[in-house]
Amino acid sequence: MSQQIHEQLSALMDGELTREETLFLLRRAGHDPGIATRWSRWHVARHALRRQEGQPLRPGFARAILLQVESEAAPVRPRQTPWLRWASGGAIAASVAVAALVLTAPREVASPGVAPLVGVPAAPSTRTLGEAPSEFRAPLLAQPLSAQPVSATTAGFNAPGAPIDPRLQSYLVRHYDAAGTVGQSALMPYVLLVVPSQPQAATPPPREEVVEGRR
Amino acid sequence: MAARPMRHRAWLALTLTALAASPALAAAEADEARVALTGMAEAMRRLDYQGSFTYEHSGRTDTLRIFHAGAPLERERLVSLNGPRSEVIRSGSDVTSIQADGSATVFSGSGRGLVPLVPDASRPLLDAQYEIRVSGSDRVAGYAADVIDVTPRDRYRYGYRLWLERNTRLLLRSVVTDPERRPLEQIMFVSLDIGTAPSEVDLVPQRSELRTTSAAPANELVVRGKPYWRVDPVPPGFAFVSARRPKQGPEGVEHLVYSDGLASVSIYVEPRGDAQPGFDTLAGRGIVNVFSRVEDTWRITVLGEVPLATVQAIGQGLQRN
Repeated sequence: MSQQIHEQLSALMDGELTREETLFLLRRAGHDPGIATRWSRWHVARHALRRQEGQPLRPGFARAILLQVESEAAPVRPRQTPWLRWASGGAIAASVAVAALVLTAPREVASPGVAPLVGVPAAPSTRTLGEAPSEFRAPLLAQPLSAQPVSATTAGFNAPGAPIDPRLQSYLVRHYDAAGTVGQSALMPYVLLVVPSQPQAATPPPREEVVEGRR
Repeated sequence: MAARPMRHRAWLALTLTALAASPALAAAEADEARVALTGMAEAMRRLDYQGSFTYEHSGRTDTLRIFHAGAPLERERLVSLNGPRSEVIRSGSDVTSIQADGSATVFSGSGRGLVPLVPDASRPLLDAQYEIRVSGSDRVAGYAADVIDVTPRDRYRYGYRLWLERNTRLLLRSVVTDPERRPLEQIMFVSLDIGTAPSEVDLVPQRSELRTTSAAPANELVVRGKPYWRVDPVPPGFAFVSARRPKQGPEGVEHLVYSDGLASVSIYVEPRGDAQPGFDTLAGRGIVNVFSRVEDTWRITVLGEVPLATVQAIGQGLQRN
């Protein structure tokens, strides 16, 4: 990769490249993976140095930006003063920045001085079992119980206002007790016994599902 | 276009090179992180503190309040601040769970803390399953915090990011992630007072009327000999920790605990009731997953703060000794 390309990439990051130079560079990046890779690395480095959360740009970013730039009306001006030329370059850099923002997609609450957890979208579920069918809620924890604390309910997790199934209470308490004895346990044991079991208003249904399978 | 000064790129290269930590530095950071984890478990038991925290899980956010009195007799009370009121109170080794309908259940002999009980970070096998390191610093609930990352090395366990108060090592915030590092639940203090003992009033139930109060069955006894059951094959990194049985129960009834040094899984083997379904079931809430199946006359229930794949693998691998 030539020194000229390096300088053009650096100028593009700083918003100092003209529209024509930007188009040329992006077209070239579309055919030269090395340019795209270097651009992505520089972005990551800049994010890191500025303690911003970010992630590498996807391959093919150049094409997406190119389409965006080309869709904008080209200024019909034979000559530009230096400051207009700078402003034009800045606008293109802003387009690039918007594309970078779209690709960045921060998820976790950003904490200055702390690296981001990852660069994949947050997901409510950890389901990894191929055979796990889709949702439904409740039977396991609503089964009539035996040899468990006597309590006044057989309701499960999801009944509004209902207590947590006593069988699950017993399982959790015994689990925390046994696991804690050897030095390990949940980060926040017993919280599940306290938090309300019904869905909150204006929120999607929680993951408190039971998935049924076949033997 | 003006020529770009070369010193920019030289500086960038130098910085990136410096960012590549040496193995010695990485080892020192891992040790520091382990010490912090150990200090956290101790701080959560020993210190007096009270505060409010949010608990985000399963697409919802709940708010809770914790009162904790440290030594000599550790006492705690955990109260929900939104939705129907529920509480858990611990005094020494007794745990009382008061549910939203006013029913209370007392579990005698259970003596674990209501808040973080982290791991025996000194276990040598832990490194095989997790990478532990200090990942930065932050500020939570007004306190300066060191951030510890515990990253799993495979899909059979969760990852953790922990914010520990810089001086006391008290947990200020935690995020639990799935094996793909997607956040599953988050706990974060929004107000916290460290070092102030809660009043007596704050450590007892506030409900004026309890509809029912019942006692859980007698505590389990630790099995000294060979357990009735074992897991084979066991998911990578997990090993047998202990077996317990009720004081009075039929042969075969047992509670096994397996652990990878950080995450624990309980296996309950109980007689199958007449109304028990014959199919397998999976359930989850927060980071706790439950797998249940029936084998002959037994109902096997596996519960732990591990992915579904782990509880299912352990449940399927259970067999009679």
